[in-house]
Amino acid sequence: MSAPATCRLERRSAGPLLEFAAFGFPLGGAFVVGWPAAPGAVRHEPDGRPALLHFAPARWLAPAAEADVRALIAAAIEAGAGVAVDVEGKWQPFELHGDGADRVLAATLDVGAALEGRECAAVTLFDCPAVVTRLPGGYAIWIRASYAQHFEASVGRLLRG
Amino acid sequence: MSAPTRRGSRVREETVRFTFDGREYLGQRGDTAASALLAAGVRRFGRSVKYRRLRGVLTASAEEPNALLTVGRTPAVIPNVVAPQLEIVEGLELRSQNRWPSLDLDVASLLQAGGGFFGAGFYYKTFIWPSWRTYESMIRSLAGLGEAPRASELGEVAVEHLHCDVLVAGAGPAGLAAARAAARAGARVVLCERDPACGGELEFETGRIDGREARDWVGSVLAELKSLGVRVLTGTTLVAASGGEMIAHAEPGGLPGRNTMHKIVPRTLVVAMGAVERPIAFTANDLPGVMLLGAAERYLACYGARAAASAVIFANHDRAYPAALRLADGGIRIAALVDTRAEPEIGVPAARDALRLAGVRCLAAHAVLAAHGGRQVSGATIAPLADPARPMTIACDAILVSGGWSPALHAGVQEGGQREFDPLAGGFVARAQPEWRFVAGAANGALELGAVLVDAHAAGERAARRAGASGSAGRAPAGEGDAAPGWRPFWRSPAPRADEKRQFIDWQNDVTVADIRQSLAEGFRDIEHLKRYTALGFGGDQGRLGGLLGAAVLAELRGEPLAEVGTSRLRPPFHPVTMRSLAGLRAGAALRPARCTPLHAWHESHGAVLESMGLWMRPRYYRANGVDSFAAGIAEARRVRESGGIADGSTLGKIEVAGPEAAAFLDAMYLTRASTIKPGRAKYMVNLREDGLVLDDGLVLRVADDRFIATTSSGHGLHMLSHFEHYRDAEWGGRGVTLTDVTEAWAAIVVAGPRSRDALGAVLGAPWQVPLAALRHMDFARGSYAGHDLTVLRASFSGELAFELHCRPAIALALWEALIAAGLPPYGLEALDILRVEKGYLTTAEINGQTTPYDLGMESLVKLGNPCVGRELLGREAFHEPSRPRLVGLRAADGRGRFLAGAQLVVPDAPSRPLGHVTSTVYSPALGEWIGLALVARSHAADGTPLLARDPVRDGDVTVRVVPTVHFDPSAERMKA
Amino acid sequence: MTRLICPFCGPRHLREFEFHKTVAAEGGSAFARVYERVDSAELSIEHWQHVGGCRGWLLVRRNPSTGAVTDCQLVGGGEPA
Repeated sequence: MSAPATCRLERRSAGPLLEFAAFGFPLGGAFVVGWPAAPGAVRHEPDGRPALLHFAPARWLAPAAEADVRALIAAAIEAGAGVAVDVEGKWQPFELHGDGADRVLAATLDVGAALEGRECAAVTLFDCPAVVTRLPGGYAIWIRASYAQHFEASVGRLLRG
Repeated sequence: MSAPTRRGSRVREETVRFTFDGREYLGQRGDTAASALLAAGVRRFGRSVKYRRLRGVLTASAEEPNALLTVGRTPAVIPNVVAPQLEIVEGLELRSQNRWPSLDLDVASLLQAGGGFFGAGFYYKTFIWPSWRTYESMIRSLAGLGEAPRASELGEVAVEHLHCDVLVAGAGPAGLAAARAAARAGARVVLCERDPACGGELEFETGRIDGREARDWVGSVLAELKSLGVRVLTGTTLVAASGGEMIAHAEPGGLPGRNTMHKIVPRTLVVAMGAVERPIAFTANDLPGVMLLGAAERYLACYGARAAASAVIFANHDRAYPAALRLADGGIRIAALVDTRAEPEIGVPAARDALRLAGVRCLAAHAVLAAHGGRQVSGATIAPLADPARPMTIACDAILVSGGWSPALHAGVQEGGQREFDPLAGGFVARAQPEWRFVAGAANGALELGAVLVDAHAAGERAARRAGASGSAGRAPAGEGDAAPGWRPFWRSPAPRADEKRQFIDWQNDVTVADIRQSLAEGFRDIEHLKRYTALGFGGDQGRLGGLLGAAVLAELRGEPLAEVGTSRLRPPFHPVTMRSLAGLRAGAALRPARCTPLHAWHESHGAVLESMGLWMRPRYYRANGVDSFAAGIAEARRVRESGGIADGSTLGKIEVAGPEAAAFLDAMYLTRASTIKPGRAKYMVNLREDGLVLDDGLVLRVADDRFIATTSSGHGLHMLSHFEHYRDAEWGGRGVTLTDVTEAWAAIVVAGPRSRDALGAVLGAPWQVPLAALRHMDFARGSYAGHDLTVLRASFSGELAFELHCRPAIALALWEALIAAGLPPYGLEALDILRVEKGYLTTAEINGQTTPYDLGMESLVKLGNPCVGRELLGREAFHEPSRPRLVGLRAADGRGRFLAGAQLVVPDAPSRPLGHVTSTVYSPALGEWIGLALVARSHAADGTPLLARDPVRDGDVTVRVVPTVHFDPSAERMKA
Repeated sequence: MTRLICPFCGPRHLREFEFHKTVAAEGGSAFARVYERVDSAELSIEHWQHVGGCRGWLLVRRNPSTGAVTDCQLVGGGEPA
């Protein structure tokens, strides 16, 4: 019932954040080479960090908005596919690591089932709107900023057992 | 008091000390409260709910109706804990229930003498004069089982969500065979079993499966399941199995308080919950010492506890004979075996002969007519069925009764499952099922071990296939156990009418044959009516013990076949679940999420009184400004008008609308045109629902030709977003416009009052000097502050010179604190409301989903309007009738009176005909009196009209008069400064 | 079993979805589109939104007598690539 001490929740620093909104669908395939087009697809940085997440129809999250992703987005805009919206402050990033991570999240959702057949998913965790993707050894979770305090408290209660 | 160590499949050698009704007992680790107390010779466990009759343990399962104990001490008690399920731990304190002052001496049991007074439905007919209340407190203290806790020691409840391919409910031979077949076929399987151990009746029945002892087979199957990755949940009952999500409730140790709610979504479900043994009704069959035959076997095999020294067995099937042999081997003397069937119907002559050789009287075509004894069984009255007038008495201290088995169908008949009476099986069995559910074992009518295993293996394989697994399930296990029971119907022993009130059908609710006869006589013929009228089947066993028995008696009294009478509908939960478990994680602080603005911590640490409004935590007022919300609100509002203040507006909904079609889209969504807004300007916009009523209002800012930010009222953010998204996807045709929720990407700070511009200028510094000075009403300028984006919009909801700052959350706190340091103190929602009512601005109190733009005085917006959502139906005639409401301002006629929102408005000579109601009121510091806004019929909305604000529940009636909605500064000079 | 299969997110629990309205028949006046509902025991065509997930708008074909969902598309006919 309580997660082992190795499971921990880390609040990451929230920096520049972009969402790309496409002008509707069908998208007709990846309009730019390297674009994560399938539902739930994620494009990763060379070091493995998630760079661009397709978490909703016609919507992508660029959590760090690094140079190469910005270039990709600029190309997509150039191709007339959609617009980029600066959403700095909208999502609070977290990382959940360790052996109890699945158990902690299972208290609110079977994350494995939500991620079946996809790399990222838009979900509701402890009543908080969230986007989740796997990391080695755990999960990267973005929580809608106004809910972040509630999310942290909910996870904290379970980690304390 | 050291007892010799008992041996059984579930007990260990370690001694455990506990108390029952204040006396200390010794049990062993693995014992339940029932087994330990039985082993110690305790026979009386509690008193019944209505008649306060002494009761003993009837079963060895969760169906137990009598032995419900209270754990702990007042006020932190846990009542109604099922003794056969409660695992004893060191220091456990147990008490019997429903007796005072003690179990053996109970004052209220004197009511037993008046047994007829409390017959079925007594509460409909008694305690009526002079009024129910006269008797209420007495009845409340006598009624119910157990004492409600006043403090909670129930701890946290854990919740787990999981998906799987196949969920198997029940881990007896059927469940184990089904789970193994499904797992071998490659399915992800979860197996749940309510007992702490798996194996079901294989724990005490003898049998051989696949060439070995049944018990060994159980062990090897469990090992194989583990290696195949099957999740086995013991101590876990499937309590509800519908709606796609099944709830399996784990109560470790049988004690509510450390529960886990497993919420399982399987692709398929296999119901293998076995069958529940049921009794036969005879006179005084509720005396302590009357027990189910299978229960006695369980207590012996699992716990080494003998339920009796000398027992009479009473049954109507073949299984009684091997059971009698096993019990005799275990040290219980069998005084007699009474079989209701005739000689030729007995299918186990060898077993019977063995019993006779051992000195057991085996009587065929006989019945136990009654149990004797004062406080517990001391003998049984037995007679031949052909001649009940010639009874004999056999001394014994227990009557072990078995009338057959009722398949535990619950999960097999919910959500479209059919059932049918099977005369061979002697119970209702499951028939047609929805395609995702499979029934195995007893619920299919299979009662003999070999048939059960084959049936269950096939069910498990089919369930796995249906869930998408394609491997091979292998061969079905071959088994042989006790022969098929050869059951013959026998439901109750013959008895004179007068004794029927002591022939019990439902123990927990004190329902007897007499109650069924009375219910029928009063016209409650249907089984469902019988259930409600007598309370048969209402208890923790949900009718599993007595339901079929009661139906059979009803059938007998009605003179109809049992198959036609049927049994009542089975509903979840299968087993009692605490409210705390159902609440799961949603309790206390976690009841609902609290949304916080970027300034939340500042509000908390600076004395803000925060309130949850539509999930957002918002400051109502700041404690330093007044002793309560009324005083503080006035002080804060006054200060804003006199010098200035800042407010946290971050909860404002903000939607970024972008794309080449953005302007055209917004034109279609709002009453007034967005396409005519120039970049750098904002406009007050109103949108309608498709039926023409006003939905919401807000400012729309045009950032660029193809980019807008639409703001909504705080409570409507998500709703408006859905409204826009729906229209775009369903009707607009989806191209060229994107919608992004940026509510949390921008913090909003309202800066208002005569000093606002100067203070803002001081904070923002040189780069903002020129843009700030150039801002006219509804202009906005964009730039940066501390390295992050900042938009300064000149707009006012207070009627003062005011600005709305939209900044990135990262700098919100710095900006806020800088403004405070520049001499602008914070104000909360109370003050905000005062300021806006003084200016006649609207909130959801006026835009309440029932008003049109005409009602709200927005005619000018409609005339300038364009085709948009709701335009067509806005034009209907009904919206112009004189009875339609009109937005007006109100003041007390005497310049002093207080009137409140919600008061009904009438004319004094027609006080019962409401013409409208008051929507918002505040005490205005600027005007020194109470002011308000109201919606009143057009016919009575002219300036100066005298009205009566009726408020009989609160302050009483106040005479008011209609005034213009803008109470303060009607020419808006302050705002345009 | 009643789960909805969101075309974008896959199978999700019913509680993640919010019913909006039953879609009126094609054509018809504004009044009919807003107020009149097709009343059929076999087929109900409905708009739901996946508010607990991707916030996509769904066109659901459902049998109101049995509750069985026969089809679930994104409104507007869009298919995620």
